[in-house]
Amino acid sequence: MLVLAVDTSTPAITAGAVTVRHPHELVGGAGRPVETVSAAEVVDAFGHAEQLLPLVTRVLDGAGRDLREVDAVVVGLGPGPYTGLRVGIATAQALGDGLGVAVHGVPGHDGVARAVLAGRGGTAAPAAVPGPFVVVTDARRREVYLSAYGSDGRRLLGPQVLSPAAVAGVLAEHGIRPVLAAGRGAGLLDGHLELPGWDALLDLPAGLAAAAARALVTGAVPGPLVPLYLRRPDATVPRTPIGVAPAGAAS
Amino acid sequence: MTGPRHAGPTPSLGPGAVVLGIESSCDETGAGLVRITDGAPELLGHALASSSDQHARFGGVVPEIASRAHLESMTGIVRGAFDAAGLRHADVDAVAVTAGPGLAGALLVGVAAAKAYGAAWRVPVFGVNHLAGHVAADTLEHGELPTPSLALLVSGGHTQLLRIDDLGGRGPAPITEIGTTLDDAAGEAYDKVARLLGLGYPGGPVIDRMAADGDPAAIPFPRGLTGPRDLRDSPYDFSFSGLKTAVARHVEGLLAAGRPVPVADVCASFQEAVVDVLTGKTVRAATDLGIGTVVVAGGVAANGRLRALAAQRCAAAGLSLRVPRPGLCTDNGAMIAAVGAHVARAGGAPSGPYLGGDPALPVSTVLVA
Ligand SMILES: [Zn+2]
Repeated sequence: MLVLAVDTSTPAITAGAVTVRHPHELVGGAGRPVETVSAAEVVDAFGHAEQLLPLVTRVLDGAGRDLREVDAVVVGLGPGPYTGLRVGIATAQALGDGLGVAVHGVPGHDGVARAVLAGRGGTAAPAAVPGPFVVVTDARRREVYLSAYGSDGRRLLGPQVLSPAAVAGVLAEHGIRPVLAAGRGAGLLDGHLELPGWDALLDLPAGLAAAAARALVTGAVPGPLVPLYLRRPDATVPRTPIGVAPAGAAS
Repeated sequence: MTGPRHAGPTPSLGPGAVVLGIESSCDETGAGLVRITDGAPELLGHALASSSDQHARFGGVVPEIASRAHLESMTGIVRGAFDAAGLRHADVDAVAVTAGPGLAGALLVGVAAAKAYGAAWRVPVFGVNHLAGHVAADTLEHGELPTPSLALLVSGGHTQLLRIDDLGGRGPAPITEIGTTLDDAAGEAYDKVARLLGLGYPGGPVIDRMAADGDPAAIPFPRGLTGPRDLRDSPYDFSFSGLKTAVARHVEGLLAAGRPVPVADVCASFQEAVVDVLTGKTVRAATDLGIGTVVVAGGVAANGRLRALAAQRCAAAGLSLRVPRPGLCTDNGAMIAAVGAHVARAGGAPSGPYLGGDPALPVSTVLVA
């Protein structure tokens, strides 16, 4: 099946056309379960709404496919800065509605984690990273979004939002001793937690599709697309004003 | 990019074509469907969700709360519009969306959704001006607008007098701002006074209701920018912050003296001051500019006293007055579809694939390139 994967949870606006194969299509070793046909990203921290759809068009053109051939959409649910994050989800759910196809949301860090594992051992055999690892992205306001995964791809922690200085303590508290850091914000741990970075080019669209692969191939009904904001909106209740309303006036 | 964005048959945007409109500039998520006709666009159905209740305890719209609510509501509201109109996706020939002005994060939810629907259905997308939408809403109810017309646009975010020459967006100045508020919008003044009186949010409906039992002449609140010099230098501009301060002083004075606050009289007198200035300046502008038709639009146009006084004064001045029904005054998707219908019928070029939101989109830009 042809899956369109999009992510707008970081400044790297990402889209990919990914083939996801049912187990019976893999008999005889033909192809891989999750395979990127065409992918691209545009780095623009404030251009998500402008850039995402042209990027989708370009990626599908690159794959020689049409939007109407897409069988399902997968979207990263964050965490990520809100405005950009919402663009990806709004786009994915309207594409799904408009095309009449399912839209599956997956935590963006899960997509990164699957891409890390695929980079080491192939999507089919995600077992070659020698220990737990963390995925880190920029939460702005001098904080990071953090998740931790076991070498089998299971999420051990997060996603949560915290200061880079607090990361080492939180990991130690959970007995997690990561062997590498991946994600767009891995560099934000510099000076706080020394870990080898994951410098291979991550195939995020394939990672997102892999994270949703079971739901995709079983035709599972997608859950609601709930963004992982991890913070409450900034808003303060104003001081009660003069308050002269007689009883019942505000009915 | 290779190839045309909208492959397939060229959609017909003449009479009969259907336009989906999407609105998300403030705290209402709206979707509406209209049909282009030989005359004014025909309303087929619309649906609306509001996050107003979630903002109430903050005394005003909280942008992040509004944006989150838009995302939660969008596809359901689009579905609601199709259900209301009895149409299917395949019936749509174009998508129009509010590209501005409005709250940045809120606008982007609608723009992203509109672009996605446009691509999925291979139909053109028109990014249009929210303020033009408020005026176009009236054409859904009262037919084509004579040009030029004068529009008084009053809402929580806007208080403007606009000269309308072409809702289709043609020419160098299809819509021209004649006057605007120098500080608070009229709706904002209602919200602030309601908060002051402990009447809750939003202020417009509750003050209108309380005012019904009060004396509008009880307290002589000031009329902003109506002195002789103001009328020479800023004849069509508005100011409501002085009025808000006068209401606060008056109430504080009563409380300090240990006297009861006549809330109904305060509401009626405040409302009368707002409505007096709004209608007075509108009639003056129409008369000075030789414009015979006045449209009152925007959320505050649902206000009963504004409608009544505008009717009285326009009749006295020999002006023809048009006010959309209250359900079309507040932000909605049908009004955006209506602008889309006007620009599409006028042969406007669809917005480019890199369409975004412009929080400060000038009113002169009806259609975003
Ligand atoms: Zn409005």
